[in-house]
Amino acid sequence: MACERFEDALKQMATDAARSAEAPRLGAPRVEPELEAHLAGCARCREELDALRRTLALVDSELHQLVAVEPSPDLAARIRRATADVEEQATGRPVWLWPALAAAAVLLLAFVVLTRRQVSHPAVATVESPVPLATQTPQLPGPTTPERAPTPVLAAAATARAVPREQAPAAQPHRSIPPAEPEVLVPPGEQAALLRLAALVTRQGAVPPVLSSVNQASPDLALPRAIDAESIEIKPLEIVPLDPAETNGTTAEGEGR
Amino acid sequence: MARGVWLSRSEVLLDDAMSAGWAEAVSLDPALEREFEERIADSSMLAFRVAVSVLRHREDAEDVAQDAFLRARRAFSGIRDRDRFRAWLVRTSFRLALDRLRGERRRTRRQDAVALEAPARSESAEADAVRGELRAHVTAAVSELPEKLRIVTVLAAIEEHDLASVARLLELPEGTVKSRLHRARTLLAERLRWLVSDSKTR
Repeated sequence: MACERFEDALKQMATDAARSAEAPRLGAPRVEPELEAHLAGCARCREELDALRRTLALVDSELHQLVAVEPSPDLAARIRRATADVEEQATGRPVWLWPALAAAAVLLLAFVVLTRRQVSHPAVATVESPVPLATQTPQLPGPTTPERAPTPVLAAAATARAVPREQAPAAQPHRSIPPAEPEVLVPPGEQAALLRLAALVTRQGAVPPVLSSVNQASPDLALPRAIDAESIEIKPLEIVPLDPAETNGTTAEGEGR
Repeated sequence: MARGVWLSRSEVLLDDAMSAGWAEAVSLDPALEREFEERIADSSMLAFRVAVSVLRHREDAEDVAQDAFLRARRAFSGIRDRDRFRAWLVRTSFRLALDRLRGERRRTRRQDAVALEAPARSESAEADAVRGELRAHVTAAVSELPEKLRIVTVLAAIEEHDLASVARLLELPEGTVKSRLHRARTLLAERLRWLVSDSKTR
């Protein structure tokens, strides 16, 4: 009976003291006088204590060997190469990517339709760039535009890779998209945000955490800078009818320019 | 003044987002770049050790460490402080390793590669077998611990029971770490007590 009373104290003692010889920082064993007196006269408890200590010594030994496994000598170099070569990482596009992008494309198309509607309505002042656009983006040669339509430019967020395509459309096989496809007007802040959103979709594989944490600092996703709540219009996307006639009309308007 | 940014086609936008977004998300200014390099130098081993303690497989653990750093680079501006970075890295490596292990388990029953590479200092094949079995029991018991206790146990081994270091890595008070470690060790002692009950393993 006396032994049962000391069961927990025994475990405590074994746990605290198991490494005390090797690692005093864990804390010196706290031997209660009562337990000490019991141990002096109880061989069974001394054996139990010894068994618990040996168990934990075994655990420590195995864990020590496990974490002592050495990586390849070039691990740091490998990581350095991988982090420096992000383009390479981006080529490993996962299986879910295309469905996710298709969904993003639908959202984008809806956004485009809405945006153009707003732009074509004189009473609606579309989004004003908080900073003169010329300071953010390179001006590229483009077709003559009506007075309210901006010159075609790419935002600074688009890579240099994209710029030559804009400059020399005919030379790029990728540009052989039928002219019937509408152009996309994205207000400056939203353009950057959409680029980032699409990038996050490719990276994270899921949009919801992004949208739901729009206003929250989220170091894991690098969001605070990435998405500005004010620059993403989510609500209109829900009410935009994807009317083919309207889309065609929009296209015609775009072509007329 | 232009009111918007024209992109020629949605297809272009998405295509560019694929590369521009990636590139932009990870481009660091030179000062940050240097700091990140330092983090790779002083913390890649930490990421590897956390991963290998879960995966028990060297190559897999290296993959996880690399993945963790790729993510760290994207988030680096928010985790620039060294302690914060290492804490983030521990969490991320641990999580990635667990995810990878679960994925592996779905596909196949993995060999315990590290066990296969155990030091060849045993006297006989029988001793090797006994040792391998012991290791399997110990690692199984550790992996069955609740995650909070498991990470403390692993980090205590990595940091050689320097609880102040473990506390920094987990961003927890040292007292909390100590109490979790005690709970973890008590559970391990109870579960593995039978290993030393009859035979003399030492």
